[in-house]
Amino acid sequence: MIAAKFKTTSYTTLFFLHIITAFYYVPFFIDLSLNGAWSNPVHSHGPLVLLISLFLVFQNKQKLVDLYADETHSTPGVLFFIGSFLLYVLGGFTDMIHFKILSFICIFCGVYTYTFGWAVIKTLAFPIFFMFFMIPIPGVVMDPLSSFLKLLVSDVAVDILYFFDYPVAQNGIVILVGSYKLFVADACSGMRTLLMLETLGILYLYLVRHPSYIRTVGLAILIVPISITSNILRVISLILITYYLGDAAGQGFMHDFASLALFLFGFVLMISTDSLLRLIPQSNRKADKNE
Amino acid sequence: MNRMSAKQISALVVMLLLLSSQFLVAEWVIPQKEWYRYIGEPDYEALMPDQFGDWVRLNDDYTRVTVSPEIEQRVNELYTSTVTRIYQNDKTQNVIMVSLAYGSDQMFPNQVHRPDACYPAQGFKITDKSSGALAYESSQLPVSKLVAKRQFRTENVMYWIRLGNDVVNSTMDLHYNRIYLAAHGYRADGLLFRVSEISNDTTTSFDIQSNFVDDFLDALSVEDRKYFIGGFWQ
Repeated sequence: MIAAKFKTTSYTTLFFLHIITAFYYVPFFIDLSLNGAWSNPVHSHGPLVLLISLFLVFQNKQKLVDLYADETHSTPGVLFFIGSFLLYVLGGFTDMIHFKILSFICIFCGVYTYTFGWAVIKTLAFPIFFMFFMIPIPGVVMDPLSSFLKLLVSDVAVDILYFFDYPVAQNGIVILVGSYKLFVADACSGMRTLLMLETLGILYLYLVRHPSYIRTVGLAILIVPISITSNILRVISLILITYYLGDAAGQGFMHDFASLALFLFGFVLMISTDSLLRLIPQSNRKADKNE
Repeated sequence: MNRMSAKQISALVVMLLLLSSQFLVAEWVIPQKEWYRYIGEPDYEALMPDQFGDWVRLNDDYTRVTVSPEIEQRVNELYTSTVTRIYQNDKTQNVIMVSLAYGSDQMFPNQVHRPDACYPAQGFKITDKSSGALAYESSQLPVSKLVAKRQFRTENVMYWIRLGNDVVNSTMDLHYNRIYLAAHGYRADGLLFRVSEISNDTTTSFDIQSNFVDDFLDALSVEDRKYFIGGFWQ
């Protein structure tokens, strides 16, 4: 049925546009993952976000078919392609990959609006929105943010351990514990955990699709303190590992294990927060019934 | 099966032309010439005089500090060269530290970092922040001033950034300068020039630093001075 309806000129055009876009952008994205910004661990979720977004489009194909009328929409198509052209050239001129990735989002919108009209933007709102998460955060924003988080995390971790009478002292990003000296590295700022959790959280919210607007926005905001908390726990556990088991243990396998464990912890914390948030509207509803 | 109208076909052709040409044009507009080479590849290590006015360079041993290996790596990634010098005034015995960071390529991904962000990472709290202008000859040099505290140590920091042709203060000017040079086909370079003194008397300290900068710039030849405060193109 779908196939029959789609076997038209504009279906061929859509197919052709996909091939052409892939021809140009697949090498671009491969290079980005291997040598570019996505090869940086902090932005390693980039390729994943792209693939998930494209998969979500595929998942929505029935809705696209419903929109479909055998005609093309030249105006939005051309407009988006002009936008993409400008963004990509700006990306070349300023040497910023961000504009080039934005240009892909533009092309994506162009290809689909050309075939399905403006309404497709609404249908594919989430995949389009989600694609913005694959744009790396510029260093100018990232570096101060991660050093702020780094300081916050080490401050709180040391304060907590000090409260429990551990021999800890701290000077900026240098933590002294017992006879050991630890540098809180950029990786410890938890920027990676934060971005990964925020990305997964947004996807989770979309997949669960609950009607409560407050719950959606609430959880999206709460992910920030959740990931900071799990990161503080990670730094505390690493300080304790170093204190009890020595420097080698703190830097080796346990270091990676703690990172993974705390990421999972953060994820679980996120889902439990979501379950808690779910209780709020329900109790309101009960209150309504009682009246 | 519907046939495509002339309008639809022409739209498709326009789209394909745009898509194909964006990659070519983007390659073509990338600024190729390096401002760093254009101005003659400054060697800041050699440009810093050992003695000028009443100031004498102190032994380098003072400058050896432990930095986190990660910061060191990041610094090496970002900057072409970094120079740290300590000078002492013969008469007043004031000790001033100069620390400069130079990046030969200052396109957007790797621009110089302001000390505002670096100091907190080293355990300092920034207690005061202001910007002002330093009068030098006929020009006004826009500088930023910071007061950073760590335990009982107060460090008064004054710095400026030369991006390409000019000394700039605001982020907007930074971007403007970069784009201005890029429009002429140059990739801008960037210099962060930082002067600091440890002193509890902030006002006096900044006066001393201003005099220091005056003496320092006076000691340089007109050509060499441009490497610090710009003005290659008038």
